Amino acid sequence: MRRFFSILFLFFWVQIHVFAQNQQAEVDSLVRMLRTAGREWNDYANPLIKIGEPAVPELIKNAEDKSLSQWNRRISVMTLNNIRSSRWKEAALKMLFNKNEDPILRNHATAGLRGWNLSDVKDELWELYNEKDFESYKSNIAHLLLTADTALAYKAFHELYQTQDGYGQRIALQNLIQLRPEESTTWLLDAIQGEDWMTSNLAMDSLINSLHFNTNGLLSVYNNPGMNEKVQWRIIYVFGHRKEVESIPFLVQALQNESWLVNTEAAVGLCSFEKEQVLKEMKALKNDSRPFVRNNVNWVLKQLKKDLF
Amino acid sequence: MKKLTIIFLYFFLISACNQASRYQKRLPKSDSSNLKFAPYFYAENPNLPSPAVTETGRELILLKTKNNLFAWMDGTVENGEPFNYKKRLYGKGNQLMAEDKDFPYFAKTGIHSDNELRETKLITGRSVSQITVDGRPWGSSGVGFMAEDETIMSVIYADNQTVKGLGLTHPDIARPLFHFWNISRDFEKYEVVSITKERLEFESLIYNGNEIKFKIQGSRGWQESIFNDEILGSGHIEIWRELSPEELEFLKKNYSQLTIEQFEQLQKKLSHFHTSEMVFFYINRYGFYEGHTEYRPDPVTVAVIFGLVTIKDAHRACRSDLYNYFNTHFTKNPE
Repeated sequence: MRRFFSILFLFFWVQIHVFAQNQQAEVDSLVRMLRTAGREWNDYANPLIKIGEPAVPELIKNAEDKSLSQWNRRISVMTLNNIRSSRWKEAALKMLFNKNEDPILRNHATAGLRGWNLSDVKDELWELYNEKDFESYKSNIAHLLLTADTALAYKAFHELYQTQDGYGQRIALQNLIQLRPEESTTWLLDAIQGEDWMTSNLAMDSLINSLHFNTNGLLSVYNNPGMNEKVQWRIIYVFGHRKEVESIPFLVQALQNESWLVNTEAAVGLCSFEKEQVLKEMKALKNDSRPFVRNNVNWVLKQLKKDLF
Repeated sequence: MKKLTIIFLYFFLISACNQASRYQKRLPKSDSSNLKFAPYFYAENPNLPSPAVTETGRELILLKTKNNLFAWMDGTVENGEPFNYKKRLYGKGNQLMAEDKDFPYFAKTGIHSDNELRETKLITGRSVSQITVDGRPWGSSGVGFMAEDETIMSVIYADNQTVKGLGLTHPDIARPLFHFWNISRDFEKYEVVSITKERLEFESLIYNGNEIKFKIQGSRGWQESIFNDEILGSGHIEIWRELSPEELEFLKKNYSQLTIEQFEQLQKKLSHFHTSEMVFFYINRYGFYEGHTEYRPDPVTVAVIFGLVTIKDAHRACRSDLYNYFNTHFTKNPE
């Protein structure tokens, strides 16, 4: 019996050894291909990602090999980023903090560091965030700060929100809200008045779903003398989509705003309420002297009638 | 099974008839039995009507190559497989679809009624003010779908008046654009003349007796629609033709008050446009040509280039002031 188990053990040991040898051969061959690969690099990267940890040491060698072209090092880094390995975390940090390293590669290495606890390198990350040569990659470092030191991450996203536009500003706003939910209203009120379309859209969506909604804050922005119609429109859009009965008088007032954007949105917003909730106000305005008010009121009444049947 | 076929045929005929009633212009008939199609190339212009419709309802267009060969191609406007850059699907898409929920009159007749436009506050479930905010410059696209002082409704309303004035419908304007788009998607199929092995370059299409030139350029990524629909845009398309001596003569006679620069501008506005394929779908579905942006295929320009109307008709439809027409933004909402 003992002999049988010894033979069985030996058999499995040989099998595992053969499997490991075969896998290593496969890794060596795929990593070698990555050293010269062009557009077809995913054909080699995907099997390596599937193999996972055993492929990491050879891939790190590729990533660090300065005799290779930047592209071939970069695709090795990108492959490593898809294998969540602590060995790559250490190597990626080394690459990131090496000022003599190619900035593009350093930036690519950040993707492999997201989600890891980086509290032990928070000072180095903050220093890097403020490095002039790394200006274009600030947003990626700010993301790493999220798992290093949330106070520093807040500081970074605060700055990014004020200095970036488009996608960068939108991401910064998203992170500021997540980091300090209690401050979200202040940020959203600011963002809804901003110039950037993406950021203000995010602010509108967030305000529609916010549990800490600040009605008075929004109303005071709306009533600011000289406030532009686009901002007023956004506010009406938010009120219309929150569907709170308390906002009906305000929407009725907006229905009479001279701005086409504002009064049209108010009409659409009023249709989201029950007929009996708005009927009285609509009837009172039915014979208004202003044609655009009459047009809007008639449309709202028509929609409410449709919903009734 | 038979029943199913009959039901299918019924709905097919109904939809075909619906679209047919949306056109004001009829295509000339063509006997296709004598025609040879690409990859066959004629050494000389066959001098037959183009566009033309065959007895089986296929719409044919005559193409000309850089080395003066001619070829017939099928550009039939129809609904086909999905067209979606995001999913890498390159079918014809919904070329006959018209927005019937928000614009039932338009869907039936191919032209909006003023009343329908006055009462429109939602299109595809989005408020017209939201579409306007997204469609202005630096909204969902940098150049925008309309100018800063225009709204989605003011643009649709103004263009509807113009198209009505031209005696056409929006599908009439969309059809030549779709003809062009449909054949251009087949160019790669005929890259080389099979007999002479010569490299082919399609240079122009022959349309209502005019030789119309074009340039198509792709771009990275795509532009999302401002409506809640599947339409996307990616290409840059330029279409133009030379005005005839008679047309130029007419313009010179009626626009002598313009400076040389203004006259040249008018000439270009009448004979050249730049656009993207998403607008072709917008025209047929909503009667929307974009406002005053660099992607607008103005209905007057399209009608003149493709020979749907004469310059004289266009001049009359634009209150005898084409220059002013092309240079005035649409700011009046249908109220």
